[in-house]
Amino acid sequence: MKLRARLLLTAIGVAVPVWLVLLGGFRIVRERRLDAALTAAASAAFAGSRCSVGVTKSITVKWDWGSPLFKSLSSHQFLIIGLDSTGRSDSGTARISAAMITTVKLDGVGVRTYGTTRQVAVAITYDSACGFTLAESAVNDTTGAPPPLLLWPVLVAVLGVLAGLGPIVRRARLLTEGIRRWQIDSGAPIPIDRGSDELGKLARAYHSSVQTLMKREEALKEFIEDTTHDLATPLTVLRGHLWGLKKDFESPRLESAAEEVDFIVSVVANLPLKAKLSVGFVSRSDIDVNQIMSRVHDRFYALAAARNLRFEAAWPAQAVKVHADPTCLEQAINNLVENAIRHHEPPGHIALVLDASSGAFSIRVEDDGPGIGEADLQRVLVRGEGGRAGGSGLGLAIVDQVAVAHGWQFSIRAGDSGGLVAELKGIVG
Amino acid sequence: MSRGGQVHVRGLHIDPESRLVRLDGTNILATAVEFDILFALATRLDRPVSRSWLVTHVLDPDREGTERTLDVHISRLRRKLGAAKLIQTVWGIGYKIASQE
Repeated sequence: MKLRARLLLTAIGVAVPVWLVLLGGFRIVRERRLDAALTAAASAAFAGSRCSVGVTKSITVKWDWGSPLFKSLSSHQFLIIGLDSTGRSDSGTARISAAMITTVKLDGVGVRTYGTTRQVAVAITYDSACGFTLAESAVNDTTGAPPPLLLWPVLVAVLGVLAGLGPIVRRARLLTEGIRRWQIDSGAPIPIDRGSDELGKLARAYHSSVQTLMKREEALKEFIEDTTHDLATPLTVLRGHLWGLKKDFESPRLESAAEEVDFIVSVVANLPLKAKLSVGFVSRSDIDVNQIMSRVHDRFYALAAARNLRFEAAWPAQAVKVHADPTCLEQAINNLVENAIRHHEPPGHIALVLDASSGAFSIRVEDDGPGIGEADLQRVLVRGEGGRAGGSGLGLAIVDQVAVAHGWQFSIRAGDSGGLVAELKGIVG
Repeated sequence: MSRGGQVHVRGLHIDPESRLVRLDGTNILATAVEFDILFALATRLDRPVSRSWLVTHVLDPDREGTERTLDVHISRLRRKLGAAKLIQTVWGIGYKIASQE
């Protein structure tokens, strides 16, 4: 449940019972005061005056809650609907006129409630020429004002709290968004919350745990890179020797050994990236793919030529900017080209093309080698499946993972000339 | 190789301002599209230019947007440029002009 919704519900949960209790209390007080006011008003209307039989009187009772907050609710109007007098004798024939009355005596006042109607009854004794007469007057409470609305100050308070929550909610959102961004891209900074409240503390605790995590990841990455680097040099020398020997002596064993070393070189070269991808840390930055293309071309041109393969690369004249992890992208292209070189049966061609148009880029490696069978096409992308049978080592599987980590598409298909076309597609910028 | 926007390579002179092409002193009558193709290739000497780049940047997308059209333009251009074989096909990519034969 969202913070605001939870608070709103809490406020309502607290306010409603409190309001109901207060309402009940105020109702009791109101009724008492009303009764007192009515009685006083009726008494004042009849006491000490001559009675006017059958005359309707209008009186206004003013009263207040004794609190400035509810003063506006203090005005009520009552109507004396009539004054009936009855003769003392049981025959009930005697009716007295006002002229006959000499004195009026107030005997008592009482309040009655009929359903929703409240009535104030006034008993009066008239002294007249006919003796004394008991009279009764009813005053109906027709315009009872509603009980004081305590709800609106509560409502204002709740709304105020909700509005006051704005900055807190914003901070929480900022932190959440920062963490989400960081999960996608470990290079993105997590916003630092300097608040001294619990939220600020939580944010800072998170921040420091992220720092620790990144430090650990950095240490792991460094270790893998160092190890890989240490392995790479002797492996390259070994590979050179083996390929040299293979040229000098025609031996299937040497050929097999050279291929095995090739495989190990590819595995070792991909280790750092594999570690990076398995941890899920991809740190994106704005990179110029043209530069990577140029480096990859320079890197493999001689190797391809040595194996009697013509390797050409093309990229647009304008820089192609992509928001990506530079090592990931470069290694992915490396893998594609290396894969094409390794599985080719020379002589032949390998083409590396970067195209960018209408917000999308495509990196395509095509060769006119033997290609891969339809069944193997699906298999080579599965991690570990590529293995030695498919011969791709980690290469293509890693390209696929790089694509997934960046939200790109990676596909391999048979080319028009029977070779393999591997293509990486994504969004520029 | 290029001075003031002009390109000179292997006897080929391209002037982007007057949009004139000369090969060994002879004027070559190139259409607008042919000129653009030639200029794009000549300014990126020894670097292949991909067919899809040429299709999107040189051909009029409304009228003739296919790679087949591009091939037609290239073959016409080659015929106009004669025996010099300036424009080379690069396998899997597109075309290029090499600075040396």
